[in-house]
Amino acid sequence: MKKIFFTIALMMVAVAATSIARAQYMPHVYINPGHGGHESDDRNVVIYPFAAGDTAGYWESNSNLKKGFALNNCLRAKGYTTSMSRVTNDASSDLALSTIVALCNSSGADIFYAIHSNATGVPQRRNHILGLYRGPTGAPVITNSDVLASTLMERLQQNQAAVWTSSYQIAGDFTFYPDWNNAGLGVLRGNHAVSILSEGSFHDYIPETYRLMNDNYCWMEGWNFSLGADDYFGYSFFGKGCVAGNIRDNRMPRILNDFIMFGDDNREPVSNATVILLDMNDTPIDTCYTDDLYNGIYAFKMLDPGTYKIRVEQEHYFSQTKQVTIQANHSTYCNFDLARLRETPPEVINYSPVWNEGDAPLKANTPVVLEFNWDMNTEATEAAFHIEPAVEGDFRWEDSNYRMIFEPKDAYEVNTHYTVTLDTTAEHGGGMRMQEPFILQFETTYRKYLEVIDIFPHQGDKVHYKAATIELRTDSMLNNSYYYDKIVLTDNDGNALTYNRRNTKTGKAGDPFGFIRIPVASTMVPGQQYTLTIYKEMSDTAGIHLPEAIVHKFTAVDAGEEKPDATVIEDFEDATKFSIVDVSVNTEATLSASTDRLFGSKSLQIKINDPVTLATGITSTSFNDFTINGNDELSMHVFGDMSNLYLKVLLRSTDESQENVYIDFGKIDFHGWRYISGKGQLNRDKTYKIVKIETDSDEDDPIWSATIKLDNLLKKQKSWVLGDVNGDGMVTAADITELYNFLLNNDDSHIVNGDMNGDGNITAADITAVYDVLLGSTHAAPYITPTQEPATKSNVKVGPIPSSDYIMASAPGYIQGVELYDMSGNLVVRNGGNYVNVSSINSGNYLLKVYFGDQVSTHHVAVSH
Amino acid sequence: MRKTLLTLMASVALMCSAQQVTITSTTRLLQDAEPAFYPTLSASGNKLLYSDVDANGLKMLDIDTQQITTVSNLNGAGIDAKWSANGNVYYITSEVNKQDHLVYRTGRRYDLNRKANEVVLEAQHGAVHLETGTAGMAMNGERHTFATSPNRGTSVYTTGSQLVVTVNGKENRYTPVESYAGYLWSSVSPGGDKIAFFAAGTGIIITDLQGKVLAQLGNYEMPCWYNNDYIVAQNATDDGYQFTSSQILLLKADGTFRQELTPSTSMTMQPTSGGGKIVYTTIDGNLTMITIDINE
Repeated sequence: MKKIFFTIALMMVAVAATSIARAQYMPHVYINPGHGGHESDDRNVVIYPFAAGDTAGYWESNSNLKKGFALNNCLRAKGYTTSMSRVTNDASSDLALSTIVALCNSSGADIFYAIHSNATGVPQRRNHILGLYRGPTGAPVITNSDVLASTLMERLQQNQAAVWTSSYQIAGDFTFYPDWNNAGLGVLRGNHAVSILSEGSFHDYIPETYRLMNDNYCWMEGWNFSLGADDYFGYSFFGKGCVAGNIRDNRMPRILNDFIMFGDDNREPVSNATVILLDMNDTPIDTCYTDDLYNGIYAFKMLDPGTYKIRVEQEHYFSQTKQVTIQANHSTYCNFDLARLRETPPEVINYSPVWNEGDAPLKANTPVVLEFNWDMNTEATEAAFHIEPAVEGDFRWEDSNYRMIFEPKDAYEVNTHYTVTLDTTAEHGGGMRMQEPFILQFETTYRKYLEVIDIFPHQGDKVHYKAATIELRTDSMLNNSYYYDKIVLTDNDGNALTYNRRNTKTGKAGDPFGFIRIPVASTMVPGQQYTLTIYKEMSDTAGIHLPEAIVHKFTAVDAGEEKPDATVIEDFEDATKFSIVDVSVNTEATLSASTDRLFGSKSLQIKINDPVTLATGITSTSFNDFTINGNDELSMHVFGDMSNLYLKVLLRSTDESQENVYIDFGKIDFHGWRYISGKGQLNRDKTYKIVKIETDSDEDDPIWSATIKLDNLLKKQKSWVLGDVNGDGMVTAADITELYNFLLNNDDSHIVNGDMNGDGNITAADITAVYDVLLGSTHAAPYITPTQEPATKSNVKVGPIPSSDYIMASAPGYIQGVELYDMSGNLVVRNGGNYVNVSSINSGNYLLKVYFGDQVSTHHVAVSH
Repeated sequence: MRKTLLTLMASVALMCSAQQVTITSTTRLLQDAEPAFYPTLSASGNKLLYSDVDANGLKMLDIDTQQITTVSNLNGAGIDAKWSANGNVYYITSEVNKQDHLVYRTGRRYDLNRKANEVVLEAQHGAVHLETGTAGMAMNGERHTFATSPNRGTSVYTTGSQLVVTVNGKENRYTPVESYAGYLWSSVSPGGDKIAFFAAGTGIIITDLQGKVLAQLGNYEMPCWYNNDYIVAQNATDDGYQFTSSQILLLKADGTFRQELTPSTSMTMQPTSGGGKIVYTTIDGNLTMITIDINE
């Protein structure tokens, strides 16, 4: 396609004013140096040493304006007429799109250049040139705009001071933004000059960002624009040429390297170099300098055609001279790779771990760090590294290859003595070898991995949708930094739920286990499935991580709705009716009313402090008011705190035998409200009274305090359904789980109801799994390992909500389109651009999908008329 | 300082004003036709010129009969089409020359009575500016010009950062405010005593016929006179690539009053006014006509 465009361009140029001197009328070029003003429609890329928002740092408006000035000056030097839409960079010069178009049309311009640079809007990076004209690709609305784009793109692509990840792209804006519904770019819409918008490079590719900070680099792009205009009009009368290039270290990696780099951009640019232009008799003609903004760019402008020499000097490098030939109406690029001055052999000047015989053993993931006096030849040095016993590991280099780090792939063996040797084949970047080998030793401790004690929600849990809490408990104190990106809660679409970070609780020294307890700020949707993912990198204060990632799927429910057709026998509205009848030694228990409830206005809160053995009995004056039949079952709504208390209700038969029966409400190993059916065997021929509600604990399960709440205690006559193993009145997959647990005599709550083989589906294979248990075989572990990080919602904003006419979306980059869906998932309207017209759509709630970069985000919106 | 004082005065006046504007009717035009842009109402308000999204072609809607007439199918015809005082249509078309790749612009007239098009200014390179006068029309090109008559009454057009005002055949050029990028959208008030135009970087300016600034109405676009005292204008924002909001405003020409006629989320744009009517389009080309009542 590129070839075709260029061929067409050349043919048209040939037909045009042949081998032109000057035309009858010199063209008028309208220059639009992008949007500006350091405002919200500007693009600020934060790079060292500039702070966010610093107008001296990188802003797209700054580099666009520099290019615009250069183009303006070059064109005027060639005799063109020019107009510019702005010459300052403030709010007043940031003109509206329709104003720019009208100014261009009014000026009588022949061609229109909108000068921009690009950004991916996503974490991926690339660097290439993009030329856009109005209309579908291959069918420009404005005659010749595709030809103008091709002549320019060819010139811009010749820039060898940049690192391009691919060749240039030319497209019509209708095709390039297929979901904009042929709205196209605002500065091309209604423009009647031959118009294009150029995205000259990607300013969020950080090595390019630094280049765009350089005045000479921007000037060269402006000059290349002028050559593109010459090619379009068939002009070749201007007799000057230019040379530019990039000066880099010939092997040393970039010192600033916390960003994605491609090709030669991985090497350190040489700052503060002196670049001298010489004639062939070595007589200096001109001198320029590379700046100190990590780009290594130099340029000599407006030179007469001929052969020259360029010499580069820098105090830490060997000088280098190259010969170049300058052609008229041409950009010549001459890059330099300089060799550093390295005058002594390499040696290890610092290292860790520093360990001596008798010292405490080290944790099993301790990295080996070696610091050198020179930047090292990484390949030779890694080959010279040996560890005994052998451990699989990875090398990492920092500080431009001055520091080598070896990390075990997983962990060292426990209780093992290791010896590390770096032999004398290790060499620095200048090729000189070490004179003496380097040796260090250390011993490891008994522990390799972080052990999980418990996680909430458990696999397959039902969790109350409001004010949920997640918790991870481990055998040691967790590293309190950066854990929010290692414990991620997502909905079915992969959107991350937000946390209430201020109220997050973490374990501290003296606690019986490490934990992180995070309240979920987002409200979940009852009936929807959610996923809690804890990444392998979750680590303790010693950096010991999990053996593998953990993924728990659970379902949000409304615990208040999960009540069968039952009678409320105690609503717990009046806390004064209740009293503590017995309590363990050293246990303090209090009862109070809580407004955190599911029903009515209050719940009963039971708070237990400083326990040794937690046994607490609670009775009520109202317990005598009702009777439990032997055919009844009890259920209760309980607010859990993951205290691992056991909750029971003691019943006593009303006959002479006064038989005591406990109805078991299970272990409080969950957070939030939950509806629980009691389990216990009553005699169908007797009636019972409630004696007390009891909490108890397991001596092997340490607890240091507990706060639970009770709401609506219910009774219901049991219904007996064939196959209803768990007695919930229904035959479901949960019954398979119940049977399975009964057979294994366990309570494996990690299993999704019915999904015995852990394949994520409930099929006949799960029945087979139960059958296998009966026969004595084992089932597959019901865990699913994540293959990639879940997607997160982009920083897209939509509004207004509700709206009666248009709903707009905004994002830091191109929005390709939006789609409005009703709450049943039916597409209502799809529209190009960043808006949807809802003026004729019925009032109600909808979902708006916004396509931005490589992401799609979904937003709740509303229409109201 | 002058700008600050004017802005301050306008703000105080705005707070003190007690006008109320009521939209008395709203009519959707061309409901079942193609999207329409660049609307231009005739002085009487009963005829409307409009074009496509790229200002290519020009059509005329008779608002009373709903009859549509194709005026031109040529490129650029909709950019700056204007009604003359005697009811004819003047417009400029543009074409890229295949030989030298330059853009050439041609001045044209559509005679409503004869229903005929004619070239009034031959194709030429460079800018051509349409000049609307109270008694005639002119087309001012860089190389050739056309005028319906030597005396066009009171007329105005802009070129670069110059306001060109002609009164009874005498032309004067003014630069009432600084604007590097230039002026646009100039027009004489129905009473013939004031001029409204847009200065890039500043916004809508009202001057007398001698170029003296009477008011600065704010950084809005596309001003057109509703009557001798009020202006209708567009207030739009964008993200550098696409529009993010757009609405229609009613502004008092002395700077003492501003009223939103449509909300900023309505994406309404390109207002025109004539015969007591206001017409605007939306980003997707839905034409709407409204009438208003101003209670002073």
